Amino acid sequence: MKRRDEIIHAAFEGGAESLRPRLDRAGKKELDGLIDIKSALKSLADVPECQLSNEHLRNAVLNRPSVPTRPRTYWLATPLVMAAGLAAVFFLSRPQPATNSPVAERSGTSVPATLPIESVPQKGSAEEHVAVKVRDNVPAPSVVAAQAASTTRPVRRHHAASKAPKIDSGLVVRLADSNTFDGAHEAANRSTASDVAATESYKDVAASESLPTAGGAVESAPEPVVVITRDTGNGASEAQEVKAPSNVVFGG
Amino acid sequence: MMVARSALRLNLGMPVKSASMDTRIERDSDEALVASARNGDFAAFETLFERHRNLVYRFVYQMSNRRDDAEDLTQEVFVRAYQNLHRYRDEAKFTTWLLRIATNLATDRARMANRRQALENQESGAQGALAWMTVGATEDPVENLEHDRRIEAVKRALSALPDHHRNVIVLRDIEEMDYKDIAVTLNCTVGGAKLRVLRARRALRDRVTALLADEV
Repeated sequence: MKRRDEIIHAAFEGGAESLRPRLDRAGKKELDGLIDIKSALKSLADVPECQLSNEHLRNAVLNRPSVPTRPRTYWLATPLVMAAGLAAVFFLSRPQPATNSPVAERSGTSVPATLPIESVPQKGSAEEHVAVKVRDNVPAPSVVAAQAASTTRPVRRHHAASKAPKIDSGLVVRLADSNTFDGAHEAANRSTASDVAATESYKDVAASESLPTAGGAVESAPEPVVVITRDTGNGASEAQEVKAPSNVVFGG
Repeated sequence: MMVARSALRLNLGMPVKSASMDTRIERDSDEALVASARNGDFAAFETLFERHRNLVYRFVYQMSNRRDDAEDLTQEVFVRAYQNLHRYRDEAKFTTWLLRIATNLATDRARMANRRQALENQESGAQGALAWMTVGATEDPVENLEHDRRIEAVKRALSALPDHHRNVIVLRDIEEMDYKDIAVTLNCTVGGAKLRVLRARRALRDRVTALLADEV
């Protein structure tokens, strides 16, 4: 114990007289000062009388609303509530299964079709020839839409929200409008046989890519077949969906 | 009228040796009264209040230095005690439990009243200006003046101490509680209580020394 702490202990707890002979002059002065502090503290013990009465206490107790007791497991509810909230958000953000909306964003054939409309090459340019060649090697975008309607692929839910097929569906609409995308018509005009072949190849691809559906998944409607014919009068080609409840004329 | 600590000690009670009174003592013990109060007997709680209100009041008065605040705090302590009687465990003395509630309440109240504390210091300074009118402890006026100056310095130093230091000074050096009870009140070990008291005394000594040196 340090010397000053020893002096404090002796002054407050007793034993000051036994310690005093061993102290020098400064130590004795400090000891006296601490003894004075102790006596001053004792003089502070006298306080005014408390005037509280039983009536005051009774009124205070009776007028005070009882404190609601929180359950001890209250803190456990916080993560449960958060988990429930996350589950609810996850469930609500799940895409609804729609059979008539195109969900073929994973199809390899839709990659060139997702070109933004601003990037469509001008007629006659070198880029336009390249684009036409690319389109010749892939089925027409309308066929892609048909594939989307026919093949129901199990899409992972958390990807479905972020990869909503908005671009493809918009593109199908744009492709149906001949004023905005002439390349499809040109490709159709170039070779009807190649269109039919493309249709057949698409059917093969669709058949090969059709994944086994999980239990509870909705089976798709009968696969529509699109037949592209050329009008002998004006040479325009048109595609027609057959073997389906609703025949839709594409292009032309 | 001042309340001396000796009167308080009668309430805290020394063990009574008479065997004929054992049954009544057991019936009137704090634990028995607490049990009755838990069962809805408010008169039993009033008995506890009458028995221990001075103890609580003295403690909170030392912490607040204001009589009205001390009475409000005392009432609040007993209201809280009544509302939380189900939490009281019989391992500790009822008075220790009360003082623990009082310590927490007084600390919270002091935290919210820092600015008011400064005003109280000014008020205590004004009281010191009138201290020469009081009757001294001895017949020597110089010695009386010095004694009053020292008491005033100790009072101001105690008011300026942090709450955790002031708590233990009040409990140990003013109320003269045992270290064991202080440990229970402060929810620490006996060694920890001793260490806290030593640190608080060091801080008090430094402040008193500085105040007395400033006055000189």
